[in-house]
Amino acid sequence: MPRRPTLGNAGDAAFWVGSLALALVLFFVVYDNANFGGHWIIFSLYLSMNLMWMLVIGTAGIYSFATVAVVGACAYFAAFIAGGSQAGTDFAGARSLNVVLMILAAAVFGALLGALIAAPTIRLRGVYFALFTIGLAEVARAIVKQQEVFGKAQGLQGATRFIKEDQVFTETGRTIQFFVGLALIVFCLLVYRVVDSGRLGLLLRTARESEGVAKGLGIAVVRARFAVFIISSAVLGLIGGFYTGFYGGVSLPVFDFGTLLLLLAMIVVGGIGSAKGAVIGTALLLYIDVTYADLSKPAWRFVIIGIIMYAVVIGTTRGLVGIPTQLRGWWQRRQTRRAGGEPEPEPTPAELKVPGL
Amino acid sequence: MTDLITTVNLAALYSLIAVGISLTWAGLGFLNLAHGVTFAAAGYGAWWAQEHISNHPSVIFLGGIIVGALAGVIIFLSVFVPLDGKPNWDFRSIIASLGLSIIGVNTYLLVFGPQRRAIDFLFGTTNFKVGGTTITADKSGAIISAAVIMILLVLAVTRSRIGLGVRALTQNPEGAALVGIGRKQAALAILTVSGMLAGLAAVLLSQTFYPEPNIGYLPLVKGLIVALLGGLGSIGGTVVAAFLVAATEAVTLDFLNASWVLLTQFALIAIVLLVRPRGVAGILEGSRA
Repeated sequence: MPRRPTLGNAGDAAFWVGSLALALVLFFVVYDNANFGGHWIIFSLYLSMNLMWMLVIGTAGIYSFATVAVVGACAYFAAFIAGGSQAGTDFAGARSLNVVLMILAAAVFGALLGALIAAPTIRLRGVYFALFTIGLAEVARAIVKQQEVFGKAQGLQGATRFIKEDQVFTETGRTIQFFVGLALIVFCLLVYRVVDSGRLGLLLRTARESEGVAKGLGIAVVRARFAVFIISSAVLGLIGGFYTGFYGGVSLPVFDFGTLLLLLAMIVVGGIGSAKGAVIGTALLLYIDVTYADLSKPAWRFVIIGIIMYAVVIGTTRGLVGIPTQLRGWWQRRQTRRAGGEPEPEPTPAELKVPGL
Repeated sequence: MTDLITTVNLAALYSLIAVGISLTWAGLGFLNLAHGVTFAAAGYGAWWAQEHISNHPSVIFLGGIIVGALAGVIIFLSVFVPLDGKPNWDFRSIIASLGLSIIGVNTYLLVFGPQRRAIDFLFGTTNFKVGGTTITADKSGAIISAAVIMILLVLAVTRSRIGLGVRALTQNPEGAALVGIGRKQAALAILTVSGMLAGLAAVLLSQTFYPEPNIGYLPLVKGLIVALLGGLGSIGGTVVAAFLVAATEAVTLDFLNASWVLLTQFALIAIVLLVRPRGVAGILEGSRA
């Protein structure tokens, strides 16, 4: 069915064109600022992770907390196969791999990892899945920490990168990394779009709203969930490969619980189930994270992030992107009441199945 | 024998933490991820009582338990009251509790600093031997007090009026509402008691987990593992699961080392859930759904 252009669609288009323009303007305006390059890399990694997480938690309604564990494990895998070795040891390892091959291998590893996680657990009811996956990053950290081949506490360094060693602090290096990051974001947006608006997304949303109905319609619910988990894990693996490609290595903090919380705060604040939400949430919280990082007490920024997360979840039903819809509903109910009519009742939990349930 | 003592000791403490998580989920549909912060708050409470009031063990215990209960009340007021009955309650409550958890951990960091706080040995430092194995007073004290509290809890849940209400809520929320069981009162009771249990666990574990800002994280993960394995909502299942998880930990510590513990525990969960998606309670009841 061809889509008629509506105000909403025009707004969407404006948002995406505007975001791209903003990114390019920032790039050219603050080109000399070395910090921008670093922040941009983090932004592209976080946004890509959030988009893939959104597919699982929003479109499919699977409460997975495995995101950080998969990315971290794949970053380690990529660093390992691409010549990474323990910090302080000889960098010129025998293993060396083209950066593209490294990323593809990381994606394959991600898919395998996803299958390994999902095979025993994908049938679990929502919250059980959350409970199972929330400790996975800690497990990954425990495994990596004691293995000599993973560099123990120091991590792996000296793996293949997107830029050459002598380009690291140069303009050429920054330019290459900027466009690599942009490419990663665009790729993840496309994957999100294809899965979310495609056939798989439709099946998953049906199953999310009512598993009984979905099964009655003959949808293989478990297979569809398995598929989306594998797809997102493969892309998360790819993102892990990009991580290594950007930094030339990886170390234990990649598994920090704090990162998982920060990412979750981003998708919740932006609005689960919307790519726009992912962009807004990631940009807003990363801005706060970066701005308050220099404070004498960095704990303050997490207090602020925690308060924003708490306030958004208490005050809104679908995060910041959902506020217009929420306000419109409130205004319509008010108008009906003023006209003396019986206002439509506030949507009950069953009717207002927000992505994520 | 040493393994057995370690197992019983850990199991006692894990069940104290896990039973709160389990009851909160089963009774209210609320996965309380701020339970770790409650644990840490209670640890600081016990330490504060020791430093500012008296270092008598009973004062330290009371300090931990009261602060734990207060943390439970704060969670009730800040998560349950504003969100209960709102659309998407179960997901939003998880996120709100995570938000509280971020705020909590970093507030501790700002107020108390990153250093660890020491709490005295509560049961003295005497050791005694049973069949050639040395048991510290600390461990036996922890085991006995946890066992007593768990028995009291089971009695409270099975015999008292509010316990009856809580059980009704876990079985059928609508039916409970129809016969006039107040969800709010039950929520307050569940969260306060969960907080007290976490507080007790924090004091009993203070020789292993010294109060510091992030100290609640590992107990939270272990509590989640146990609650999940036990089949959320079943006290019996939780206790059995606590023993399974603790035994896995003790054996792993004996044959491998500490860094393998979480891995073997997760393998245990994966195996049990593969067979019985509802955990130990599913095995006890013979149900798979």
